[in-house]
Amino acid sequence: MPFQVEQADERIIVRGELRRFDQLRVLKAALFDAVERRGLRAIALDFAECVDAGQAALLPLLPVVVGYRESVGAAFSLVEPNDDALQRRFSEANWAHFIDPERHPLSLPDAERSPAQRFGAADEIEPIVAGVVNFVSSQTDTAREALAALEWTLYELMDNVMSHADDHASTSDQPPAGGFVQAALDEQTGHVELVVADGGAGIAQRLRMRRHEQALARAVRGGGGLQGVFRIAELSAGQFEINSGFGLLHASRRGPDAYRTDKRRIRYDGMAVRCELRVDDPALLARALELPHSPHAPLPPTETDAPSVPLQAIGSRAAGRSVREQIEQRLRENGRAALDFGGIPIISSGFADEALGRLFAALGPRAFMTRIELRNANATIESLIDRAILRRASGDSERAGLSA
Amino acid sequence: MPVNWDADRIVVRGRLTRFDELRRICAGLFDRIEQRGYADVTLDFAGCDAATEAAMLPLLPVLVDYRETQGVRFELVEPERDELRRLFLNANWAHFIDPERYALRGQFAEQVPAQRFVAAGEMDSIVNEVMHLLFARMSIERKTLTALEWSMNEVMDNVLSHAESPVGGFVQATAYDRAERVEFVVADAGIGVAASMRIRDAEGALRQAIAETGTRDRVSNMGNGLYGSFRVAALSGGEFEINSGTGLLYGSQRGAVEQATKFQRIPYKGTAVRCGVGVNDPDLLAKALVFGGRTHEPLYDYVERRYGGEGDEMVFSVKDELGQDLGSRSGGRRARQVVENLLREDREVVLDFSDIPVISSSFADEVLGRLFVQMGPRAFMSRIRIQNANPTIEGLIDRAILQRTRAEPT
Repeated sequence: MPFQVEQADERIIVRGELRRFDQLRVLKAALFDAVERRGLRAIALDFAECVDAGQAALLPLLPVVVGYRESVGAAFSLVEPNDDALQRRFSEANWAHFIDPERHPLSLPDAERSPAQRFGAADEIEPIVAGVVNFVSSQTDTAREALAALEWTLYELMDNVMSHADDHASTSDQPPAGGFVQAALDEQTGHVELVVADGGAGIAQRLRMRRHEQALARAVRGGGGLQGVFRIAELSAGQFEINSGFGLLHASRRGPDAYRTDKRRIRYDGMAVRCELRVDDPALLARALELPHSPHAPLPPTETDAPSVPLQAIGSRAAGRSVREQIEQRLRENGRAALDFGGIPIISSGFADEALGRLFAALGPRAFMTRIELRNANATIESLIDRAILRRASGDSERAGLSA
Repeated sequence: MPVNWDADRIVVRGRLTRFDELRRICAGLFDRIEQRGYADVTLDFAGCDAATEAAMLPLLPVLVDYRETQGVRFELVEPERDELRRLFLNANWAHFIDPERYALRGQFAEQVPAQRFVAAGEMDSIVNEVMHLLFARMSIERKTLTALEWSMNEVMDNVLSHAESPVGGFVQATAYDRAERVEFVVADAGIGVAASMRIRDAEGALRQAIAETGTRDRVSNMGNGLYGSFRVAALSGGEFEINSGTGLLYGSQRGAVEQATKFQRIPYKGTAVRCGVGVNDPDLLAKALVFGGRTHEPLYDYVERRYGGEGDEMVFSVKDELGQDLGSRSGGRRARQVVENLLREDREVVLDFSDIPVISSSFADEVLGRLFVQMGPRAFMSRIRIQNANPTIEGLIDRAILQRTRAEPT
């Protein structure tokens, strides 16, 4: 049965296979019509005749549904698929829960499953990332240290959502739905597929550009975090897809499609990113980001009594800001400060920029060198710090600070 | 390369790049001075197109010997080719041919000019000068430098200990940085290897001289000088050549061979050693300096003497290193080369700015700006320590780092 969406009174019926984002746009148009044109506040989402569904389409549905529920009080009920396996997937993937939380409980991630999860604050990022990495690590029997590209990509995409949320809050009186993330392992290709979606400000709004496809092109090519994610997918021979507003980019192993505008003019508020990456190449991140490769390894620092700032979170810009403030406090009190990365496998680029890139720019090279002591950073973290410092110091604050 | 003589004039034309060609000049000198009794001889290089230290340096002890023991005076006709004329002057060849007209010159960019040594103290300072030139000029492994230092010391010490040269020794060293090769030539006007080893056969004596003796002092490995130097040259992909009397031995990776050459039967009064060494094999020293089955590691090498700090750090004193050259970009480049060479060791490098009131922007950029970008911030921060810099210098360093970072965006 081909994919089909039908509106009947207070019911939206989805038939056939719902696997692709362009199909989701059709469903999104139906929801828009029901909630915003017809003013319906109780809607049944009927998946009874849906025969297959994937996270590429279902995860980006969640911010739309949750957004309508929380902003205008729309209530959604789910008619579960008749197909048993698909019904189980709706339930285990938490799609059922986020459509109708009263009837469907939340299932928690574990070593076997990485269901859709919602995050609304920077400090929720790291536990979710840890869960996804743990899932992939145990499913593929790969050590966490070797999953640097996966972990970095998750930080990048999720922290990006938090920046959207900030922008959204500044331009809208509607509460944003936050972000959603889901991961799946393709046993055949060995790829991990990540989908991250949010209902915040789209890229065009964020970059203050009118043409949605141009905004997308700038976000992906502009040297920010999305470019790194794009390269990771490309080097993995995986797919990369991004949808925001009317704009879309779909890159597969046969090469990227041009940046396009959705012909039907169905708008997706916020942004949805899907990327496939390999998890069997520990050097993937370094290659994708072209991390500065120093011919000289840093030497371990001579330990001093510089007061150490505790490192609790490293996954977001917000965490980076907090660490910088604490370092500045130590500098005012003691003239020196230390940061200990012991036990931390990787840091997000947003964290590196906020905590150390900006600090370097503010202090200048010599004061930074003599007053800040970085301890126990592994080679990947050292490279990410180098990259953040060089970007800030090169005056390239747009690229340094731009995450989407 | 024709060498002709007529009356009091010896004329050299074409290319003078191989030792064998020098033997022909020796024949001319012998004929004019010892056969015909000329006491004033003109050496006419006007038509000479090219000359290298391999042939020119060993000419110097011959000329100085004639001058000092027989009172002969030489007059130089400079090469017409401007570049070669400057080389004659800068390499001190002109000076040793006719010291009354040409002053002795010091070190310049890519070579330590020909110098004469008659005592151990002079030898040490020349070796230090050569080591300093190489370290500031080339990207070179410390252990290669150590192997070179050992070889130069050995070959020069042979002159002082065994050659009985009435004029002492002459030495010249050149860095061929594009070819990643260093060459030094040492020559004397002594009794020759065969006589000093009391062996009649000239080439048999040379063969024995470059073989491992297995005797002498085990700690310093004195006595194995030529053997070790030959191995340093051959194993590094360079070449080794020794001429003494009518003997000649040429060595390369393929071993040592006697090569019959055109003028070989013309005797060279004394001994000349040419040692060309490839500089980028970090294992050279361990491979080459093996005596009695054991690797000889010279303990207190040039780098340790000059840069070793009180602890594990290497100290680069800006004042000692650059002296008056603090303002120039080329001085900065040499300083950066030294620091880069020091960084090859896993040790902290201290840049000490004591007694330096201010540095030029080009120095700051060349050394600190470029190193910062090249090494990356973290490696730079953890491996380079800047010490005793006044606030002005600190400010100039900050500025140079930031400007260089902006000039080369990531």
